[in-house]
Parts: sequence; C-alpha cells; structure tokens
Amino acid sequence: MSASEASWKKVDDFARERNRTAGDVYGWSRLEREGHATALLLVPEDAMTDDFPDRIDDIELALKPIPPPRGQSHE
Amino acid sequence: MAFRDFADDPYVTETVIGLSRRLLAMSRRSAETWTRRQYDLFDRAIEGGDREFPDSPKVFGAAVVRTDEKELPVLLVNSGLPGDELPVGKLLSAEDLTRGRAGIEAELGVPIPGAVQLLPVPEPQPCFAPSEQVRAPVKRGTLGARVETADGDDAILTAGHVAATGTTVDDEDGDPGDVVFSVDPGQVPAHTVTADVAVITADCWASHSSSVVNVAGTVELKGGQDVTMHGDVSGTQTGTVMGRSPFIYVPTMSGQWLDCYFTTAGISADGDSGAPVLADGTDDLIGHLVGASGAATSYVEAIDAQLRAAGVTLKV
Repeated sequence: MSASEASWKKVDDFARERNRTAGDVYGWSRLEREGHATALLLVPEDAMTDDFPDRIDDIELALKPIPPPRGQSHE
Repeated sequence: MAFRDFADDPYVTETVIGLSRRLLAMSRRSAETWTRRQYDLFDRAIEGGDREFPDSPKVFGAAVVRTDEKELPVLLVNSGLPGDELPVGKLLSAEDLTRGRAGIEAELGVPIPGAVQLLPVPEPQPCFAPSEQVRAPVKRGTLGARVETADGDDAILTAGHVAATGTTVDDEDGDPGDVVFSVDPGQVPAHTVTADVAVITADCWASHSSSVVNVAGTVELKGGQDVTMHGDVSGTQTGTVMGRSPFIYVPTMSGQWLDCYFTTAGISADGDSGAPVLADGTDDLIGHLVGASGAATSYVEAIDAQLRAAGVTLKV
C-alpha cells in the first residue's frame, strides 16, 4: 500500500521537529518496498527508541542508529 | 601570430583544427618541458578546435609548432611508448624512429602524413580537475564537477565547508584559484538547511579540462543503486544508496545539509569532501560528497540542489 504525500509530509514534519527540539533525528528517507511504506530515520546511537512512534498514518517508522554526521574536509 | 592553413594536406588541416577532447587535459605540469612558444601555440590551437581528432589513447592531440620561423603541424604523442626513445619536447619525424613510419603508425593507430612531426610529451595531467585535491587556507578537500558561472566563466565545484568565498585555493600542483561563491552550513543561522558547495575559478584550465572524471549529465538514484565516488584521499570507491534525506543534521554545524543521499556503508575519508559521485558504471553525476557518519554511511548532496544554490550550470 502506498502512502499519501500528506502522510509523508507528516513524517517530514515529525523528523524536523524532533531535530529542532531533541536533536535526535539526523535525517530520514522514504523506503517503499513490496508495497510497504517505511520511513527510515537516522538517529544517534544512544537514541531512546521508546520515544519514537511505530508509525505515522500508514507509514512504518524504522530507526537506523549512526554516529553523528560530520563534514569530511581535512584540516 | 597567425596559423598557417595546411590546406594542401586535408588530413593535416583536420588535425590542426580539430582536436581530441583528451587533448584538453594538458596541464602546466606537463607543459613545463615545452618552450613558451610551443605552449602558446598549443593553447591557441585548442581554442580554435571544435572537431574530433582521430581517436587513439597514445595521441594526446595536435598543434602547430613554430621552429626556425617554420610552422609545423605536430602530433602530441605519449613519450612513454615502449621501444624507441621519444625524448620529451623534441620534434621528431616518423623516419627518425628506428621502427619507421609504418611502425609508429601501427603503434599509435593513426596515419601520419609526411609533413607531420611528432612531439613526445608525458601523459597529460589535468589542472583543477575533478577528484584532485584542493587546498584552502585552512582545509583540504576534493574538486568536483566542472560548471559554468552565470557570467559564462569556467569553474569547478568543491564543498562549501572546504573553501570560503573570497579566499584563494590551490590545486595539488599549486595552481591558484579564486573562490567566487561558497555556502557553508557551518556558517549559517541555526537550523538553516542549505547546500554545501563552493565555486572556484582559475586561469589554469582556460583551455584545459579533465579526462579523469567524465561527466555526461546528471541522474537521480533510488535505494539499492550503486554509486562511485572519486575522492582525493579514498580514490575510487563504490557504495550503495540506502536512501535520500531532505536534510541532514550535523551536530557540529549550525546549519544542515540539504537533500542528501546516504549510503549503506561509509565510502569516504577526511579530505574527500567535494568529491564527485556518479551512478556506478556511468558518466552520470548524482552529487558531491559532503561528509559521513564514521564507517556507517557517507553523505552525497544532490547535484540539482548544489547547482541551484550556486547559480551555475553543469559543464558536460
């Protein structure tokens, strides 16, 4: 089942708000496989998974813990 | 100085006027072995060139060279060919070589009319070229794709957090360039989502371009598709797109990266920022490397977002 653009917008709003308030979402991406709409959230390795909902509308939320993003210039 | 039209020899006319795109990769470094006059002639021949040259990886191009008040049509050939001695910067006729005309024609894969001299040169090394190192006053990164500014100037991209507007940068040979535009997410108001891109202009490539990384266009990818990054530090690395985020929050920066692909594993290292990233096995650019999360993932900012932010167009 494909999610509506309105639902994806809710995910984007959620991710940006969490980033502004808690700083525990680095970014997110749509994943649509086999008819399942999933939003992959990039989160800190110490993120509290219980703080995140399982889904927003028909979109399942999945978390990928990663180290903090940083630029890769060389000083 | 006017070039003579070698109209009596159709092949020579073609080669003098028409030049291989590969020829455009000549750098100052390899030109150091030439006389100034040769370099100038070569330079001007490039400017006039708009036709294709016979395709041979061992012939870098053609030029008109003046010696003793004579102008000679010249093929620039690889001085590293096996067999005959091919002294760099010395004009030779095919008969000078022990393998003879037929032998060198077979070696090069192109015919050599009698009037044409050979000028052995080292393999051209590009100047301010994609995947080369760029050295800013404080940081080092990698040069990205070639672009054209709104004023029609040739330019090349790197990451905005590498090179600040108004500064001078060097390529790995020490050729200077000017940073005419830069936007750095580390220098914008908090939570601003922006491109991470800088535009560099230089005299060095006025008539030279790169053949190291060829960009034929742009493309958008989806998860599961492979990419190839050409970084100064990591070299050529292949990875797989995991997803594409409308923003990436970087805790050490006040702002955030705009529209980034991220890979299933890290493919980059410090010093690779600005590197061009292409769809694997193609000449289609997807964007430029801007950073990573350790070994977990690398971030590639989408090319459309960068071109829009910088107000430039891609040169293909």
